[in-house]
Amino acid sequence: MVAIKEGSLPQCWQDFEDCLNAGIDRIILFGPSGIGKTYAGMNMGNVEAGAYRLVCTEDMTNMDVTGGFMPSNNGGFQWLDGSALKAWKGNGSIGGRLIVDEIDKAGGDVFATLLAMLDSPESASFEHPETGEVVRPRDGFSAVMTTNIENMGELPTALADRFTVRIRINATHPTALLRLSEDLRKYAVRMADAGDDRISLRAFLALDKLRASVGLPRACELTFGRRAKQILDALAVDGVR
Amino acid sequence: MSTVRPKSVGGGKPFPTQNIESGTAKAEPSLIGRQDIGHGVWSVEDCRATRGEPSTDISNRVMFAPSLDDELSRAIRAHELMHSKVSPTTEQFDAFIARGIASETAMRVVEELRVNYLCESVGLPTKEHLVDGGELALGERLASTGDWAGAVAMTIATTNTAGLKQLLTGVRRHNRAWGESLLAISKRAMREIKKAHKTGTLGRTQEYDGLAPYGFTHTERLGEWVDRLASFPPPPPPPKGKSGSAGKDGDGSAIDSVEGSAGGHSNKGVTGEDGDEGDKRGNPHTGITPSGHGGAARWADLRVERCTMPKVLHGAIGKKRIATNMGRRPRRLHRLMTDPAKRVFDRTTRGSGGMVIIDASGSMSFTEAQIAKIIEHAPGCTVAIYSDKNRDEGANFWVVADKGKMVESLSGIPYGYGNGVDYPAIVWGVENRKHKTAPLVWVTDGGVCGYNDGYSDLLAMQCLNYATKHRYIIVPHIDEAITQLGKLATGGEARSVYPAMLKQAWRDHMGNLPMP
Repeated sequence: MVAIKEGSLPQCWQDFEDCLNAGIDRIILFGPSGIGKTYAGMNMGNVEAGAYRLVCTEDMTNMDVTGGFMPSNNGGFQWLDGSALKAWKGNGSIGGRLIVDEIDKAGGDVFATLLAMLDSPESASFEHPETGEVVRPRDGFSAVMTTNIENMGELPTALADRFTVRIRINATHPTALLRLSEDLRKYAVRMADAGDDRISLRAFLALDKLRASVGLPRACELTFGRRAKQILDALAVDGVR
Repeated sequence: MSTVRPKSVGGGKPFPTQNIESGTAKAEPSLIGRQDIGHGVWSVEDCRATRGEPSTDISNRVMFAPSLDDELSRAIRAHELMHSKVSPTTEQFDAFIARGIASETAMRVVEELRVNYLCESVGLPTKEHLVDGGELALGERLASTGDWAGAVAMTIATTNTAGLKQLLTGVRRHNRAWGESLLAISKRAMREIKKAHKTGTLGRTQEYDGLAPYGFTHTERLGEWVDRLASFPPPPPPPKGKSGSAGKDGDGSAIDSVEGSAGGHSNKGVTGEDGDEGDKRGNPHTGITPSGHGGAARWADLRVERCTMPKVLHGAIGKKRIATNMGRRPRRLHRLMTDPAKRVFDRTTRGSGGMVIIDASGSMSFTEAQIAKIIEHAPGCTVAIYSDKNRDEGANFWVVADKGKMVESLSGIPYGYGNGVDYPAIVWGVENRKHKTAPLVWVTDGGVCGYNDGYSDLLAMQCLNYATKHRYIIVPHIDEAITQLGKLATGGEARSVYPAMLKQAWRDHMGNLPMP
């Protein structure tokens, strides 16, 4: 466990920023959930050309990735780009960013398509089924993958090969913390990577909202259940001067 | 506090122990942060709610705390959580021990008091519920075996908990006078901890001047007081026909008043309401009071320089003649009649040397000639002077005479500044004397100051305790130094003439008790 000094940009986020600044365009962010990995993927670095999110599940289809035909107003069918294709195209001049959440949960078909879409720019291409146009990722296209898998050895080899830079995120991003009241931020930071006892940022956001209307003890009960008493005692101890 | 349990190794047969009754209330130390060390994840293990089982190892972030959902377990969890918040790590604690101001035991028991008080201050009920159940028997054992130091330590450790009442009841069953004294000590401890809390620094964890956590300096200061209490002889039994007023057996009313007894603190020791009461009862321990100052007062590092010593000094302190039955000139003819061994001759014994440590700070206003005069009157002694400039460079302790030689002049030595190293200097004197019997002399006006700091009574008491323990002869000025050195030179017995500031420090801390 990395000791986190409060008030500074946590090392994991500094690493991510450094990678983006250095032009690394395939990065895996892994670590506990609710810590801001997706938020950072969507917002950090150059996302002028757009950031497109893809949440993988077993039931998703390739339409989510590349696109597909949908009924149109005039009774026919119209092609709609999927997230990966949108990210490839970006804003028309530079490529955007594709954020793939939980890629390990995607089914076989989708996984294979994603591998193709995330291949190196020289090899990646997609032929439009309607126009026949061959689409390639524009310069500037990048992909950030997020997962809760802690052991990177569990990743499929082909995927691991495409994403050589992997950063474990063990601290809540300072920007995401700004949504929380100031007095609760330090607790969200401390509990972000507290192993089995971790409390996600989302839980603290709920606590923050609840306490405004029902008071802290009741808000704690509603948010943390049977841990509420112990958490309240710990907050009291932490408040000692 | 701060102990690591040895993990069992191998597959040896375990001793049968009662299973721990588990609950679901797990302490949450990972939520707690401090300013002196980084945050990290804690490992929390279950244990029983009995003395000795719960523990907090801050360095390794391991906590043993009961998980039952009852008030006692909750109080223990709160206590351990507070340790994780404000107590020092093993390394930090070692640094405080190394300062030599208070003993490890004293600091541990005062830390219990500080932790329990801080728990109460944030509404966690240690006072009502923190009790082991064994305090009554412990109190009886301590009193019946005459373990006064142990009784003082346990009183401090259980102050502001439900266990104090039981402990004092147990003590009173065997020694009513002790019970009375311990109750007064407990009340004083509570007042002192409240006073410290009002400074707003009792629970502070920041580092200050190389020491952390800052709040622990209050523990250290009170620990020094507990050391003095414990080292003083236990109170004598009350005169016959006069029974103590505090606490009949099993009566907790006197203890209950501890909380409400906050009053003005008097460092005079015998003048406050307790003090008066204490004196009338013949209780000397109420006169022993904690230092009013302290904080992070510390000594500068001792940087020793041995000066060039070209000048020869003749003579030796402690040289004397003793009778022998061989020689050339009989000087003790009367022994022909009285001594069966007929020891009529003299034999001169060599002096055992000596150590003279001179406070050469500005307040002593020594001239070079005066210091030289002291050196000349201390033949055969090691003479050293000290003065610190509050800079972390250059020597602040100079050996100016040793092995029958002395410096030609003191002109190159930058003395006449602050003190800074009084305690390290007298410790050096003890550690570097040639024989254990060599006399030790400390010339000082008692204006003891720490590094970059003014007078500190805490440090003054530290010096005084150390000096008297090692039989230093303390003298306040040059004339007295020469007088006492003269006595030593002729084999006489020198005595301390305490400077006014050390006398005052003693009075402030020990009341009317005689100086050693």
